[in-house]
Amino acid sequence: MLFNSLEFLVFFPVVTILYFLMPTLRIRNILLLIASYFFYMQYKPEYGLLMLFSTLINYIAALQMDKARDRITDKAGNKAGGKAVDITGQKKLWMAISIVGTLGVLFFFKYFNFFNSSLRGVLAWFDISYQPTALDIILPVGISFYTFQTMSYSIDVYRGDLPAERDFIDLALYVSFFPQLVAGPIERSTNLLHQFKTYHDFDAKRVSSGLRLMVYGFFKKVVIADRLAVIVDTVYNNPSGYDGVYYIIATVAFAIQIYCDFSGYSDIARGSARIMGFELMHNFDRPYFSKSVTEFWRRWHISLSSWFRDYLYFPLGGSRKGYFRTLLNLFIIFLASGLWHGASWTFVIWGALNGVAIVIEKILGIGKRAGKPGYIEQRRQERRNQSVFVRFFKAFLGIIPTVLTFVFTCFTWVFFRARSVGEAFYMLPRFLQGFDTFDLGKLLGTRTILGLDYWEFFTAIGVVILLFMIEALQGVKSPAKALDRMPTPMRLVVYSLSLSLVIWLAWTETQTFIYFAF
Amino acid sequence: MSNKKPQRNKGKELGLFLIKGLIVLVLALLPGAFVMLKFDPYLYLGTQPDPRIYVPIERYQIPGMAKHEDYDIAVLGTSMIENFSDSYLSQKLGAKTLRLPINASYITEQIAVLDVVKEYKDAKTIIWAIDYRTVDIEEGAIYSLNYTKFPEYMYDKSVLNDWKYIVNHNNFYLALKQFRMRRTGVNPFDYFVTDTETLNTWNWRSFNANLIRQDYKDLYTEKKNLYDKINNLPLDTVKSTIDNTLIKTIEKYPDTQFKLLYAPKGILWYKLLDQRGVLEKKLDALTYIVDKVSELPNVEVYNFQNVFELTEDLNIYHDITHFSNKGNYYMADSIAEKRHITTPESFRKDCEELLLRVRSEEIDNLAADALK
Repeated sequence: MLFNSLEFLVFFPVVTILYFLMPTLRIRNILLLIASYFFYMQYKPEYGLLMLFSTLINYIAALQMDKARDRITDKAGNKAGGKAVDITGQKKLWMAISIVGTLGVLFFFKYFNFFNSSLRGVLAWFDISYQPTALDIILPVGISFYTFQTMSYSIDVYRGDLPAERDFIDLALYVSFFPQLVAGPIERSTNLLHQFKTYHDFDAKRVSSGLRLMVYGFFKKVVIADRLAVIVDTVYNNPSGYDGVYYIIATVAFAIQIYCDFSGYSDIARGSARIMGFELMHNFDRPYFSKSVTEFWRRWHISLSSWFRDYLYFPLGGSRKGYFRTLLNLFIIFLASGLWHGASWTFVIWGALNGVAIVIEKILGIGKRAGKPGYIEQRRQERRNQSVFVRFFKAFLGIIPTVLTFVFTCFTWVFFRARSVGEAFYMLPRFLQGFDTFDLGKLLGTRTILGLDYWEFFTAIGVVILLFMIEALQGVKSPAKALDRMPTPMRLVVYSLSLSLVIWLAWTETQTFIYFAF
Repeated sequence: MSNKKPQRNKGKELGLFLIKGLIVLVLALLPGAFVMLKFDPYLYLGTQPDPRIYVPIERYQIPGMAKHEDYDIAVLGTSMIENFSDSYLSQKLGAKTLRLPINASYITEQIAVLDVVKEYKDAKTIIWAIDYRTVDIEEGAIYSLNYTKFPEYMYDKSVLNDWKYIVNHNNFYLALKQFRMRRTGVNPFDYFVTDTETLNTWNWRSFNANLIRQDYKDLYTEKKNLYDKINNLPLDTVKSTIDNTLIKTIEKYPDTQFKLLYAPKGILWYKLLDQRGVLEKKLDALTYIVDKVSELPNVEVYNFQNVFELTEDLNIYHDITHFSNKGNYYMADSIAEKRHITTPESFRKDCEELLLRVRSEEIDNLAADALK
């Protein structure tokens, strides 16, 4: 079920009303679990079994790890508990079972064919014939998201950061919670699991705030992303028909499309969860205002970046094993991030390019502050305390690194969006061609501009400018707080106008969310 | 004094929230809905002000026209009927005639149009061009275009789903564009049409022998896929579709006169179908229709497939099937003069004659020439 479908517009209010009507926490959680599986199984019923399998493995493994921890005693013979040494090896064994089971499913469905075709290519270099049978399987929607979410739970239990969840319903709900199930944010058990143990009353203020977030998410998705998708598809699905300026327009459009598509989903997810009383993590923080690639990754898909930091970068040694190892570790997590996005060399190259940029910035000391926890909030506070003049001057100077970061990000998006590595390399040199023959008047003087009707094309430009203004404003003050301070009639008018924009400008052809495929 | 925190009144809070929510929703919907109700871009609600403005997107425009235009005879079919002249047909047949074509449609969509016609206008005469591809489908199939889906909600009787027409961004923008056109008189890119006579016609296109030859060559050499044009289902399936759609529909309206047309497609089209082993099946399917409707008193079938002066005049074709309005004028005259009406016996003879002609040396040479 898509968020931007009529089915969801019926499903969500019905589930929410039933949720608030249920008298006990237990019944509410059961209702949410059934609703979540119903939501997920709309894509393909069999997918539900996979998710159940993944939940079961991690449920059992975590309980066994908890048990093993209780049995462990330290060398002095005291019951150690907590993070004591795993003398019996049971914890490691169950951790391994959990990881192999969970990642195994992901590998089979997502990477098996890619692995085989890549292996065939490598072996062919050595004149070794390898003809594996390609599996005719469809990637289960959202599998990368719930796999990582489930793994984080088991790793947290393994590390002793969290006791194993004994209530299967709660754990199953943590894995399948429908607002964030298919495209994140990738929640942490430490943040979400305990929220299922709290009874949330109806709170008009909280529900309003959730609805606001949902409307903003829908605005990004159905008004901006779906409209820009037409321009992007027109050029990227026929790269030989275009060059130069058209490539640039399409690539910038894609940068905005993927941001609005994905962050729009996150906003809808966070908003719908908030309505029911759950607070999901912030997944995007105005990434295109970043002054470095390092900062960009602090602001983009935060739940994935922090996942890789906590569960891959740190276990690899993080920055504790010397300078070169730090650089290598950084590169590895971006390579892994690329592979997480898709079983294709385009994503691997995309991840590698980001990894290289991060490593270079690390060497040059660029974005050093951005790497520090709380940097973005700190910068926002600093800005609030500055005079308007200083703020304007700094913003003016700050445009240069922001633009450079955006240009680099767009360059990497070429690999992300191109249908193949070959097409990406075909396009790259042609970005600089065709400027002499480009005729802006001709482009804008036709009824259909890059696949969009001329009104739609200018609407796209208008709504992107509006988005930019909203995001710029967010950097200075909280629009949510400003709205809360408004007199009620004025606030209702603002809400009506916002909803009106979504209703009357929504792109009518339903498009799936890009990140569903990951 | 009590130390207790004041309890929130949940009922009141919820009530107030719902009232505010309702106000927001109504305010958000109202301006756009007003524009839609006032300007009704596809004439669907019948509220569009005069002079009428039409949109050349048939799947959306036709139901509104079927409901709210003034006519006595409706012409149904695909692109084969788009080049008919409404005024010429009206003059020849002595009753106001309106074309209601849906290009590349199957019989499912055409019956949907007919049902709207019968419900709103009760036209007593229906001219209906039947292509083989129209019935070469599984029952209920709808032809999907990438750029325009068939809006079933505009053809059914339910008013509950009419909100899909009203709360619709595309339609909203059309309404605004039409409003602008009414104010300024500027027709953007000559997109809108103000006269049903020219709506959806394409007689301005090029017609010459090279075009049909090239199309034949592309299809023959499989540069183009023939099966984008036809499904080539088993004859039994096609017959079952004919029974359950065309025949049932005609039987449903016994007081209506149906004039079915088999249009004159280019001779190279029949040649190509014969080369692919499809022509005989196609003729069998069309014969089946003639047989079935011969039992019905309210049906005439006009066969133009054997009008070789048209089918072999390659200069009237835009591609292998699409002919200029010369073909349409010919058909209009024939209907008025009741020429080319076929019966089961005469149609079988026509089929034999067509097969002989298609397999003749002259047509073989014509086809071979086209491949050069």
